[in-house]
Amino acid sequence: MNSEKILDIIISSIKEVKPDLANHSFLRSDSMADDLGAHSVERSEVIMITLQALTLRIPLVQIYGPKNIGELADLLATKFK
Amino acid sequence: MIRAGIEAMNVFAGTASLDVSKLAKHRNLDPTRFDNLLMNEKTVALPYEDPVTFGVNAAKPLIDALTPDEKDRIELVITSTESAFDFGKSMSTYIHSLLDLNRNCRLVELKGACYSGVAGFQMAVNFILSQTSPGAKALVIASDISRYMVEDAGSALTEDWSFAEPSGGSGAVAMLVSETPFVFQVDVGASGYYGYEVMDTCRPSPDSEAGDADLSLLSYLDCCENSFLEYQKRVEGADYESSFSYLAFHTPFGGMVKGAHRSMMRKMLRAAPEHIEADFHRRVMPGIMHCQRVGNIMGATALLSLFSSIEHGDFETTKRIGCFSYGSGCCSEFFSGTSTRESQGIVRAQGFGEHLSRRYELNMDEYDNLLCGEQGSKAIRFGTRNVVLDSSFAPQARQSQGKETLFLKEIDEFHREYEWV
Repeated sequence: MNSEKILDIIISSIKEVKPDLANHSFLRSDSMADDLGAHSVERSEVIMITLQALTLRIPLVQIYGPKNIGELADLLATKFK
Repeated sequence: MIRAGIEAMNVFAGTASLDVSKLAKHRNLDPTRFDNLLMNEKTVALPYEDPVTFGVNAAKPLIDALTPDEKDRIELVITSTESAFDFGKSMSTYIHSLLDLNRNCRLVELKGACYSGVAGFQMAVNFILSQTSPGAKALVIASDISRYMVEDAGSALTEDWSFAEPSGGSGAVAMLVSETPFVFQVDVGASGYYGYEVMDTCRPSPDSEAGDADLSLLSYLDCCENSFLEYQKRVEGADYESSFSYLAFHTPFGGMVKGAHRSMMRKMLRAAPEHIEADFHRRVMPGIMHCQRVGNIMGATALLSLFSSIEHGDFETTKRIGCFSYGSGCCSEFFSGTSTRESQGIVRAQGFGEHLSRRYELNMDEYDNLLCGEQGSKAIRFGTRNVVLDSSFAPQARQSQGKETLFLKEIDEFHREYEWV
């Protein structure tokens, strides 16, 4: 699974948690908190839904740190290598 | 087979409170985001209150209800806390003295961030189950306070504190643990525990907290899942929905529990959003209700949620409650037990809702004075050697309970002196 495909899954997860962003034009540089207005519980839900969609079972704390959704996709891509 | 669990239980949540929506307005917090916290009020610790006063005020009615012979069977007092004021001396020694308990008693303190209360409870349960002293009782007191203080009233008040300040509360849960578990009978061996090292939230220096909300949330969710999976391994046929009539979660703030429940329902049952929402109100909300009025009382919060579930649930028939505790750092546990109509009667007789309503509501000036003034929280910073506390600080709070309440009078060469008012 490459970073671009994972980014699409992250974006659909964000739309599921925040339906108001259905028509938003997402950028790799979008920060979930600052640019997309997701609060901490919503951010964690996006991560949970994304992992479920990817059927990836890893400790959640391993995916802490990315500053934006592009970095998150890159980090998740490394888990498939 | 020996039974074990909570024989009697009480909560004390202070003498002063704050309306957190007024606080949010005062701090210019975004009201929509604030609503997601699901918080209404919080208890504020006054300078003449500390974890000992909270703990003793919670335990006193339980001890007073015992016969002298029963009281003498208390052979273990555990304080569970992250708010202790001494690295060596256990607060259980003060509590043991103030409650005038038998000297043939183990006195000790446990640390484990917000897991400490459940850790203390489980240690006590195992003491009872071991039957090394048949008929003995244990007193477990989980007591934690948030004592914020601000050196310069500047931007720090609005920026750094953000959403932690409205949720940080103060309070204590006292439990008498014995082989007559009238309030909550534990399912023996039905425990899934899960822990690992993570630097999410901590208290690395006196009078301050450090942490990362995102990391802490992820760790909480990880533990929520893995402690339950371990529980499921040990309890044949355990099902996240049908096995538990109620779920009592560690509640840093209600919104976090709502997120965790949603995530678990999705993962364990692939439940649809409407189903999850209805289930949240039916099984989880009863446990959150008291937490919404007290705030996060750290080591005592999961137990406050258990108390709230028993108080607000429907116990016409015996019901099983699933409990989840998480302490940063981290360690967690999912366990279960049963409560009855009699349990609910015992819990309701404590009149906790009335106690909460009697707290004196601080206005924002009084609250800011507590944070910034020299007679406020700063008068009792960690390591204080000598001080006489100012009893004229929010004097309405001292009389608020309409009954004798324990307060801290002074610190004399580090020794704390208390008074009943």
